[in-house]
Amino acid sequence: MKPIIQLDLKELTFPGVKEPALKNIKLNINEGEFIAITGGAASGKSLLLHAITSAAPKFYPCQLSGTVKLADKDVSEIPLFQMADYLGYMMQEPQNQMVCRRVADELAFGIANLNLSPEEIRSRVNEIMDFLGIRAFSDRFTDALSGGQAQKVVLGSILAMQTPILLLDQPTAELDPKTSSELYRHLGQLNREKKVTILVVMDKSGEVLKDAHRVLVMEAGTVKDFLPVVDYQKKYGFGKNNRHAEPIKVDENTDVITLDGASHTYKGSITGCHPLDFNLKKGDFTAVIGQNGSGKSTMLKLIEGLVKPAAGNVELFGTRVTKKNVGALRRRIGFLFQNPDDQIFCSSVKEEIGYVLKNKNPTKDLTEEESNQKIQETLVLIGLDGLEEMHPQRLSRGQRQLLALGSVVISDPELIIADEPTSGLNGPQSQLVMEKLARLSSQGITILLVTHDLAEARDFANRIVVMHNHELVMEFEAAKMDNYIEDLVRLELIEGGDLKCLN
Amino acid sequence: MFKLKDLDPRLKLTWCLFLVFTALISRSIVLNGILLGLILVSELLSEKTLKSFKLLSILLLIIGTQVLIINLIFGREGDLLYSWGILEIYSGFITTSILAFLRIGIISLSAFQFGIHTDTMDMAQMLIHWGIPYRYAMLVPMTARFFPVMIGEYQSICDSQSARGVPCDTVVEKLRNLPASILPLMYRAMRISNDAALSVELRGYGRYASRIFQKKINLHPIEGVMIICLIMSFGGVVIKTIL
Amino acid sequence: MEKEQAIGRNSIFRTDTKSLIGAVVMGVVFVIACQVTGQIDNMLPWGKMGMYLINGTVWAFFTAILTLLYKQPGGLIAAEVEAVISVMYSPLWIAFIFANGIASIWVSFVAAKYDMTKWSHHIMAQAGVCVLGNIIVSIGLVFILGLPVNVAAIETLILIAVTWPLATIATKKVYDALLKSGMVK
Repeated sequence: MKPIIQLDLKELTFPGVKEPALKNIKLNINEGEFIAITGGAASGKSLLLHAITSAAPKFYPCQLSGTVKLADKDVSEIPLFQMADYLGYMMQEPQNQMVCRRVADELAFGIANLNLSPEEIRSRVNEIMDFLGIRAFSDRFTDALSGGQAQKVVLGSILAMQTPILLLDQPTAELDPKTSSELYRHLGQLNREKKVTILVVMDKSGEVLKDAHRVLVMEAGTVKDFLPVVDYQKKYGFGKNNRHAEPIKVDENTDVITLDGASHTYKGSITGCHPLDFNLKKGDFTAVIGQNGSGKSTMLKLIEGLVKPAAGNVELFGTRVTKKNVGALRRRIGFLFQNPDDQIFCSSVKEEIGYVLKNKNPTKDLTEEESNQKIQETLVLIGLDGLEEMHPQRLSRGQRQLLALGSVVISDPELIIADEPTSGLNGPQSQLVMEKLARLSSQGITILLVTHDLAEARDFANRIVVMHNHELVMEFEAAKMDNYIEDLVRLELIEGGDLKCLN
Repeated sequence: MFKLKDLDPRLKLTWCLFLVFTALISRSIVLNGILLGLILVSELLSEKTLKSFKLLSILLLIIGTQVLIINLIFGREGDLLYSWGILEIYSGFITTSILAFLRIGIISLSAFQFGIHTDTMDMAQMLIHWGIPYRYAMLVPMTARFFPVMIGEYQSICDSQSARGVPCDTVVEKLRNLPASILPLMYRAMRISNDAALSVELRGYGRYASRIFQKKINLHPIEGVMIICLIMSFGGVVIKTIL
Repeated sequence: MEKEQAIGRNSIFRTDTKSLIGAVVMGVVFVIACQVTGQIDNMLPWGKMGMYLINGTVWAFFTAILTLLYKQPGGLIAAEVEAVISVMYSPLWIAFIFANGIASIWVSFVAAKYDMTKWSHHIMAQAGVCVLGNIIVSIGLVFILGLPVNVAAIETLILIAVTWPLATIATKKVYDALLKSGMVK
């Protein structure tokens, strides 16, 4: 087979950084191949895609020695705006990549730039809408799309350009299992039927392996392995989660969270959640699972006091949440959000962690020395020691999530609420975050985890509750998940009875 | 049926500018009153309701009231009506305030009307017709696209900060913790804009000097005549004001 | 077009897509920041009198920092995005169009001459932003809102006196932090 991507990268170095971010990468990818890329935090997966697109160095200034060739042409000679003849690139966050207000305009955006005839544009857009099944929302505003819909629109806009190569960076990071299965099905179909060469940075589910031919394993900016999928699975397994923490001890007599028929409706009569009855005991580690839009986030907002219950009550630590006491109650809770960038703003790692300490434990309780010691201990716990003075925006996404975890842990919360803390992270990064949470759980901290990842829920929580259509519909012991597989398939939390994600 | 949305953006812009500049140069309460009435009537004819003006009208009412109070206390035009210590109220404040009310109403509502009834893709094409390169003209639809996105981001950041215990109850706390909400928003904006810019470049943005628009704008001869009429009317207002 | 240009002496233009789209998105952030601070001002006594000191500071800060980040025409685009969107909440939008534009151009002139690493550079940049910007807005206060000239003049003087030092500090601090974050080269 003919190689379509030829990489011979000696070094890629960013200004002001001694260590190269990529080094000694020499590989060929053949026409029509489907490659999955994996690797640990800051291993250079996304950067490798940037190098192939020539965004590094053209868009992200850096020093690059070596060559990258697409269809025998050196990318350094191709302007970025001409790369559309060779490849399409889809990044992690779909909302960032849409630039038009309406879906139909977005789908036509790229081909309209190529000055194709209006008839050709219409025909290609129609074809793509049918292929991806998105005709129903062609006239909708792009900001009103769900994560899955937005992902399909971005993919559609790229596919309409009919490029021979497709690069995707964790395309399903924020999607529920059903939607991500759908997306991978489309990619598999494209690869088989249209012979499109596909490179995907693999997310933690590893679902892409069903269609991939080979796996590229990155480590510290270089290629560690480049294996056929079967050999990869033999060597690395499925990235199974293994909990290494102590068993969970639950105090059945102490309530931490109680939802007593609490419901919420958003403006415009949009249902947030129907009346919920839920109880979380001290020391418990409960996982809430459910599809996108099932009401998980509203449930969390009710608990956090960010929205008022339309009916029913919310109690935290045995106290009914009111406008007056919500601030004091929140100070006993640590919140870990899906997107660490929503909270990080200080100019050093140390400052960021210390900021929470100042707010939650007024400094009169802690001397500066004690504060510094606490910050240092936390940095060791989250594995960011040595990076105290670094600007948080220079950290990788996984490291920023760990920093967010650090700023939660430092205030010694009694309860940690983690909202999809591993979305957007790969297998090893997720494992790291979950291990930290498990260790905290074994120390007696109550944890409420919201996740799409069933394996994560089974391996780290002791109880699972399932939300569907804005209601809590199931509750069971995490260890007994196998007994509930049929129900989970029915609720579309496992696509078509595919149990691979649990193995 | 008359629909503002269906009109050519150039006509709508001329209408808006005619209203704004006339309101700025004319000191006639009657003329300004008529112009404000025209905005409301055109809106009613097109949309059958004035609902979209509701929020802005409340805001303008508040601003108008502030203007009224300031003119009441500090205005020195006209005859002295009342005096108590240093407080002196002159008769001129009534005319000045009414004129200010009408003027801010026309200036705000006409621009708002243009904004809500003109598709941003049409605005981009209008700019392209005037010779602006499409790489710049397309920034108008992009602004409309990213406005709700950034509002959503800001809301998430506020929720995150408030949930993690960053106090925001009093004015002092709000002020002190302003960086906690604005700085993450700036960092997010940079990431979003970088992704968006790379994404559009890789989709051929700027490759050619022009691009294709699926829906084209087209100035109807009647609309052209109306534009000329509006320009002539404005000329009339200028002459009348000078004379 | 793809060429990234470093912030430095004599380079006031940047027309790459990154800076154009960055300016648009940051322009929206500028609007949000002005809205938030406007609300804070409204809760304070001087805000009730129509004097938006915090809002004015944030306006001056954003006008300068965005011009430093995105140069021209990015700085102008970001500033005008704010001015045009202000149609939704202020009748002074016409004055903002001129004030924002002129202030952004002034910052570019200063940045073309100095490397913006010293306090004095930022003091100079903000002098133009606060003085020119507030004078233009005060003209709007008189001609659009019909405020008495003496009231507009006093308001403007107070605004300049307060916003100039505060905006200078904010711009210098944030500009240094952005350089440190690596998001600005």
